[in-house]
Amino acid sequence: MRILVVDDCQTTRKILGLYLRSKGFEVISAENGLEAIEKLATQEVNLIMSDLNMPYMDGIELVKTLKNDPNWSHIPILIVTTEADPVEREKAFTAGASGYLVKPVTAEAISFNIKEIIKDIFKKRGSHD
Amino acid sequence: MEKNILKLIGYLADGSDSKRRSAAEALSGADERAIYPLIKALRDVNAGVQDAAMRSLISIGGPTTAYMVLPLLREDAFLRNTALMILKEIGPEVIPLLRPLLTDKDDDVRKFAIDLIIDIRQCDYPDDLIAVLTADKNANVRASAAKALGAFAYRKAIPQLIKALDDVEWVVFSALDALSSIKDEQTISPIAALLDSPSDILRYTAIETLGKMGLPAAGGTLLENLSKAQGMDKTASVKSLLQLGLMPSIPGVAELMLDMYINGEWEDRLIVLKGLIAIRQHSAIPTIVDIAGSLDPSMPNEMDILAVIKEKLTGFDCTDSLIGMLNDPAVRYRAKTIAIEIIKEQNCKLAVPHLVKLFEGNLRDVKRASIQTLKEINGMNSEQLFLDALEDADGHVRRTAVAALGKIGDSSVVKPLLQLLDNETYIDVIEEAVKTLLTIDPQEVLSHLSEFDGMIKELIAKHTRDVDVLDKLIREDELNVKLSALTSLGLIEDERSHKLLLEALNDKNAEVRKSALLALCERGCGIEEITPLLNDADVWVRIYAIRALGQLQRPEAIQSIEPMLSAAEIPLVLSAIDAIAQIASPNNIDISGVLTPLLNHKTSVIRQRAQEVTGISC
Amino acid sequence: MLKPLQDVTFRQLRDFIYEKSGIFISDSKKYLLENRLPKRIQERNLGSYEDYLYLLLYGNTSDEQAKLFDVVTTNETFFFREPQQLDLFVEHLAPAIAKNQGGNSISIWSAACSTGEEPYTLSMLLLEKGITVRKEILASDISEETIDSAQKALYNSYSIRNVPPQYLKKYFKPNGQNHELFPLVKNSVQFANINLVDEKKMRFITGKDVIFCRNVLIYFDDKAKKKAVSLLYDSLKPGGYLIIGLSESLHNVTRAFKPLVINKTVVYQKA
Repeated sequence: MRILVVDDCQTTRKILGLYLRSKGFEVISAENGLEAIEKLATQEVNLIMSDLNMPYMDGIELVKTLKNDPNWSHIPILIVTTEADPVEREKAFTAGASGYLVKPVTAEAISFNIKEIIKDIFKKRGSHD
Repeated sequence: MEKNILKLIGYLADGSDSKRRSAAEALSGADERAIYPLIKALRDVNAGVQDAAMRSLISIGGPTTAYMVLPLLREDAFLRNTALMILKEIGPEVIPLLRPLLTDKDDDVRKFAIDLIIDIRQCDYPDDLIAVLTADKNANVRASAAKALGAFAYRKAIPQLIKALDDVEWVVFSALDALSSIKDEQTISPIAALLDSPSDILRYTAIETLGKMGLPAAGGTLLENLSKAQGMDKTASVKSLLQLGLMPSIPGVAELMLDMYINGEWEDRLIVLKGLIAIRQHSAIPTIVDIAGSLDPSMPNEMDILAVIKEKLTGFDCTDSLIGMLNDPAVRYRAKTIAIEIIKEQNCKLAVPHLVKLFEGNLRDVKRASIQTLKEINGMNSEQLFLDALEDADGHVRRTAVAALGKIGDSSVVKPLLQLLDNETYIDVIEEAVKTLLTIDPQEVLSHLSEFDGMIKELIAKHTRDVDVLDKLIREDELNVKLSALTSLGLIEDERSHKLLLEALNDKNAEVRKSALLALCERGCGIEEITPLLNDADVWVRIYAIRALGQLQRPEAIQSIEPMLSAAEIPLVLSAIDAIAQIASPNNIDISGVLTPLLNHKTSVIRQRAQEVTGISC
Repeated sequence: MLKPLQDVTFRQLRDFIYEKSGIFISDSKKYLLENRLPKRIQERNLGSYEDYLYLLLYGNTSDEQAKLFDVVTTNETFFFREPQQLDLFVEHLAPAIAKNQGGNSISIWSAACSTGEEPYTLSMLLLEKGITVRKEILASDISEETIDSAQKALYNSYSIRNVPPQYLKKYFKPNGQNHELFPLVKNSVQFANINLVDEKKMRFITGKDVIFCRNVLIYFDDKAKKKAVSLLYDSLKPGGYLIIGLSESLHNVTRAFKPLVINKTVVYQKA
C-alpha cells in the first residue's frame, strides 16, 4: 500500500516516512498541497497523510481540491497536524478528511488510524453491494 | 506618487480581476499606506490577486509590514500560511518581533515563531530557545526549539539537548537532528544509550545520527551494535560506518550495500558507493552504472552527482564488468555512454575492439563517447577508423577524429585533412584540422595559404608561431585575420615580432591598435612607445595603454596617467587608479595626494577603488 | 592567453547575468563561464575576464548582453519532446479552447523556444488537427543566435529523431545532410527576442490561451522563477494554460495557478 505524506517540514516527512515504512507501507512525499497534486498525477496512491499548515496550498484546500476531483475523491485523507483546536478538526472533516491526528504522533497511532480508515472504506463498499 | 498610491489602493476594490491584480502588483513600490489594503487583498477571491498582494507586501518589507502581518498568525490556515511566507521573506527585521511570541499562550503561535526563526536563520536570543526546550508544555514547540538550536549549532544548548533525549519520541528526533549538526563527542554516549530503545525508529535515528556527526569516536559503538543489529538497524549501521570511513565486515555486507544502492535516495547511494568500491565489488558495477544512467545531465544537480559517480568508479581497475556492459544490448545507451567515459579515464585498452564496434552503431552519444575514448587510449592503432570518421555526419565525431589524427601525427593524414578543409562547415572541426596540420606539416599548409578563405587564415594566424607567416597575415585585408596574427606575434619573443607590433600601434584601425597593445602588454615595451596612445581616440586603446604603463612600473609614467583620473569613462578611471597604484607600490611613492580627490567621486565604484588603494575611508 | 577567472570576477559576472536574465550560475558551475566566455572575449578583442566585465557594466551593453545570453544559455532540444504534454495540448486543450472561442482559433506562445523545434512541432500538430492559430505562434528566446538559427528552420538528424514518419514526409524536405521545414510550417511561427524577466517587454504580450515554458525555469533561482512565472501569468487570458517541463514544478513558486491533471499530465490554469 502506498501512502503520500504531505508536510512542509523535512524532519516530519522523514519521521512519518520511517514510521510508515516500519509498518510495511510504501511512502512518497510532497512539501505542500500543490506538489501533492503533481505527484498524484503520475503515481497511484492508496492514502494521503497531510499536514494543515503548508505554504502555497494548505491541507484544507488540498482536501477540498481532491474531494472535488473524480480522479482522487476516493483516496482517504488522514490529517496529521499540530492544530489541536476542535474548530480546525471540524473544518477538516467537513472538507472531507477521513481522520485527524494531533502531533506528536506515534507509529502505533498512525497505523491504528490507517487501519480504521481502511476498515471503514471496506464497510462502506460492502453496504453498497 | 501620492495620488497614484491612493488611486491604486482604490483599484484593489475594482470589479475586474486583472485590474485588482495590476494594482496589487504596482503597490510593491508603495509606502506603508499600502500595507493594510494589501493585507486585505490577501483575502481576494482571485488567486492571482492574492499572489500579487503577497509579493508586494514582501517587496515593501520592513518592520512595519512585519508588525502588521504578524497578527495573521492567529487567523485561519490560509492567512497563517501566507503570513509565514511573507515574514520569512522579510527576514531579519522580523526577528525582534518574534521574541515575545516564544511565550505566547497559543501553542501554534509559539511554534510558528520558532519555525520562522529557523527559516530566517538568525536569532539574537538563543538562550530563550533553550528555555523553551526545557520548559514548554507542548511537545511540538519543544521539538521546534531543539531544531532551531541545531540550526544555529548552539553548543551552549548541548546539556539541554542531551536531556531532551529522554523526552517524548517526537522531541527526541529533533534533539538528535540538532546534535548531528553540533557534532560534539560528549553527546556520543547519551545517543548510544538509545541503541537499546524498544522503539525501532528511535534506534534507527540514533544510529543515523552517530554516522552523520562524522566523529570517529562513534565508530566503536557502531561496530559493536552492528554485531547484534537486524533489519533497518543493520542498514543504518552500515551506512553510518561508511560515513565514518569504516568498512563493516559482516557476512552479506556486499549484498546489503548493493540493495541499499538500488533502493536508496541519491544521498545514501553516494555513501554506499564508497563501500562497494572499498570492497572491490566488481559485480556491482553494471547496476551502479545503470542507475547512474537514469540521471539527467541537463538538470544541474544531477550532473554533479554523475560526475562524482564517474570519478569514484574510475578508481576501479579496468574490469570485465564494465566491458561486458558495452556488448550487452539490454544496457541502455546512457549507461553505456557512462561506461565508455569511465573506460577512457581508466585507459582500458582491453575495451578497444568493443568500442570500435560501438562506434559503428548509430547511437549518437555512444558513438561520440566511443571515438573520444579510442582517441585517448588507442590512438595509433585506430588510424583508419579516424580517417573514415572524417566523413561522419556528426560534427563532434569529425572533430574528435581530426584531433585523434593530430595526436597520431602521421604525415599520411595531411591530404585528407586538406580535403576536409575544402568542404567542412563546422568551425570547431576546421580549427582542429588547422591545428593538426600545422603540427604535422606546417610547410604544406602554408604553401596553400593563398587558397584559403578568411576564416581558415584567421585560424592559421591563431595557431602558427612562424613569424614570416604572421608577417604576411597581418597585411591581409580581413580584420580578424590581422587581429589573430597580432595576438600570436605577442607570444613570440623576438625582435622582429616586437617591431611588427610596434608598427601596428600606428594602424588606422582602433581594433588593430588595441590588439597590438594587448600583445605588447604581455611582453612589455618602452614607455615612450606607449605614452602617445594615452590620447588615442578609442577608449579601450587608452585603457590598455594605461595598463601597459602600469606594468612597466616606471615612476615617470604617473604624470602621464594622472589626467585620466578625470575621464568621463569609468573603466578608464579605474584602470588609471590601478596603474598608479601598481607603479607607486614598488617605488614607495605616496599617491594619496593624487587619489584623494576621488574619494568624493560621484560614482561609488570609483570612490570604493580609491578607498581600497589609499587605505583612506570616507 | 587569458588569466584564470578569479572568484570575485566570477561573482560579478554571475550577478550581472542573474540580474539581466534570471539565470543563476552556482559556484559549482563556474566552469561553464570558463568554457564559454574565452571565445567571446577573444571576439571582442579584449584581454581578460575583468575587461569583459567592464564592457558589460560600463560599455554600450545591449549588443554585448545579447551575445552574452547566446553564450550562457544551454540549447539542445529536439522535435516532439515530452510527447505526453503535446498530446494533452493537441487532443484536449487546443480543441476545447478553439471551440469555446468560436472561429476555431487559439493563441499560443512558446517561451524559451531555443532553436525552434518546439513551436514548429506545435504548428505541425495543429495543422494536422485542423485548428487555426490566431496570427502566428509566438516563439521567443533570450538568445538572438538561437532565434536566427530557428528562423532558418534547418535541422540535423539528431534533432528530428522523434518526428513521426508521416510528419517527416509531409512537412520536411531534405537539404544536404539536413532537413528543412516547408514554408507552410516555417511561416506559421513568429520569432522574437524576449527575456522572461524583462517586465517591460513581457508586459506587451497578452491574451495568450496557452504558454509553453519548458525546461528553462530550472536555470533560475527561486526569486527569478517567481518573477518569470508571475509575468507569464499576466500574459495569459483568464482560464489560459501554462505548460512547464515534466520534471518541473510550481509548488514552491506560486499559488496563482490551479494545477489540473489530464491523462497523468499536469498543466497549470490561470483562474
